[in-house]
Amino acid sequence: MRRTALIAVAVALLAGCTASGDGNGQAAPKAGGPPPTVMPPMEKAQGPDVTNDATRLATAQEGERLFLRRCGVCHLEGGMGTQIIARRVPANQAKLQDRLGLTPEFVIRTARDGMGAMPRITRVEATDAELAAIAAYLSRRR
Amino acid sequence: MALTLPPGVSAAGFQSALQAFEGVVGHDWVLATDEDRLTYSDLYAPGTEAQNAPSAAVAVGSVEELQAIVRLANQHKIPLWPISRGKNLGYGTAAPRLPGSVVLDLGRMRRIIEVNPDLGYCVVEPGVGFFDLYEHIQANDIPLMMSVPGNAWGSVIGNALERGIGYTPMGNHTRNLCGLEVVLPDGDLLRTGMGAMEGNHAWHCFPYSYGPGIEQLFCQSNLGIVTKAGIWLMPRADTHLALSMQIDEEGDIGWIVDTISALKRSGVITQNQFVSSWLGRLVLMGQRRDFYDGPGAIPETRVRELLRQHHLGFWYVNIRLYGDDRITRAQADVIKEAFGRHTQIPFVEEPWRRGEPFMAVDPSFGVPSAIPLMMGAWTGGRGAHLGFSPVVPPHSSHVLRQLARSRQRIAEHNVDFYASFTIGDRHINNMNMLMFDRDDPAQVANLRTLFNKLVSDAREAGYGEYRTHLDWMDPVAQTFDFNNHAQLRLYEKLKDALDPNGIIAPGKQGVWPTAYREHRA
Repeated sequence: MRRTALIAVAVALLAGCTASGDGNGQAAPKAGGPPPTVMPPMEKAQGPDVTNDATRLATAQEGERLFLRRCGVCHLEGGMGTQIIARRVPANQAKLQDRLGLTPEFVIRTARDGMGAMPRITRVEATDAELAAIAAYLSRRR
Repeated sequence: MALTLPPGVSAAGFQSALQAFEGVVGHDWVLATDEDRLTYSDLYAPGTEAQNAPSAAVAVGSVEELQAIVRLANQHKIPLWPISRGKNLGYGTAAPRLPGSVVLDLGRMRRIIEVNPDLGYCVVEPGVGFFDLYEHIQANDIPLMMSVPGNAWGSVIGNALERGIGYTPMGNHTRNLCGLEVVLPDGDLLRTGMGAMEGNHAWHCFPYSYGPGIEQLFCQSNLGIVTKAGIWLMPRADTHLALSMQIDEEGDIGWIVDTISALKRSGVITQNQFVSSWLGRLVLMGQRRDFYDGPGAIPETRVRELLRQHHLGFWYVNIRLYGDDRITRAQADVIKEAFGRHTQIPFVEEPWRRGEPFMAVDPSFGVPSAIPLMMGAWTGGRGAHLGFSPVVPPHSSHVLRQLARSRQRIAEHNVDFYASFTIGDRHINNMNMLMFDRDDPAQVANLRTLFNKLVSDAREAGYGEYRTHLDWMDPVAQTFDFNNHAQLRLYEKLKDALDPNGIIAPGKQGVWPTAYREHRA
């Protein structure tokens, strides 16, 4: 995927610990600091807006799209949540979409109660119906 | 979270108010379960959440609904705590100053009303987050760019009203406000600036009005509820040039500030310039226990080892120049010459062109990210943070003085030191980030004592905070003490005149209406 390729390039840059020089032969010092995090263009990753009062309270909404819109800020590639979760789960499960074994109850409790650095999600941010759809989507790989 | 009733309101009176609110917004948008109260309380509270407990939340979908709720709140004597999106993390999140207040959530008012590519502004509602606006701009290929705060999860309007900070040339966010629409405490609707004239075409172009300007009266304020705002945006720069440098010695911050400050006033550096200490980088690389597992602050010797090991300086300077290569190259030459008078360290130069990948950790790209919130995971447990952020003049004499004082206090309390300086034209926001584990009562108690001392120390030295957490709104207000707190006395006269029932955000920034004044800390 293109996104993965971008990250690979960025990581390779860091591994070499060089930043691009200025072309005047000036030696660049080692960059240091955190690994570069490349975020994908959000409007492509997250899809169109799904904030519509007429539908926000309806049941059987599309969980994947809602997840991308409501949770994608932190839980897509390179996001804060993804990076923190990466510290404690198998390498290919840092993105919530890829996690195995999530239950709807766990997703809902985590969203409403918060967890670690994750703030709580109100019903204005994700209605019960929306959160139920998101929870069903994230627990599809049980 | 158990129900805390608004002061002086009976359980029956409260239920009757909620029923009246439901009549306006519908049953689904009056949020009054234990779970709702929990979601609107302060997850990062330095202490018990109960002292800022909301009784409920009501979410309005339009200006008309908002006006109706405000009128009902007056009738039922229910204090409201307006929030845009409630992401004021580290300052109280969505939670009210006065326990028992009903959170008035504007998150459903989420329309982007206008983006004007020719004149460089947008008009948005309070629920519009930085991510929403960014996506709108990208999706419509509008040649403008945003200025975003470190945590861009919140509201564009809310952040500007709280005087939030970004890191582009438009990084002084409150200055980008141009033309507000405001619901007043009696439910009346006001438009400020040129918008006071019906149909005026320059509402979002001229930041003043005819007669006194009043927009700043609605910033960090409880005199009204902003329902729309014009926000200036800068033209999109399709090419950037970044100059970054790691600088080793703590004391170097003096010349760094003097150099940048002069370059800013002469217009060579245009951005709101961020300079941060090493911990700002380390929090993105792992948790505290990955670097040091002892109690208390990381010892100096270990800090030095970590800096060497991770190729970090004590300070990190990252200057981003925006626009045409011919101009940014010339700016870079001037900057290099100025820095060259103090250091032999060469800048790392990174040109960037639109379409190339950008680093989410770098808010000077103007792209929203929540990455800096990773510091919440630093301590482990339920991590939280508090910012102590005095404003100082951008001169070494002040910076070194304030740094020495706060550094000593933070060291005395054995807390990790994480300072940053965001250099504006004629001021610096000196943010000292204090991270703590909420589940460790000893850490919380230590932090509270430390914060009290930092506030009083700064006052003694002649500096004050630009913004603070709910728990210090009164103590910080007290530090603004000229002529027996003349400014606060004026605010409270205005408060009582405009909001006789005191229902809008009592206690916000230490401004108390007569009705609730006994709750002042």
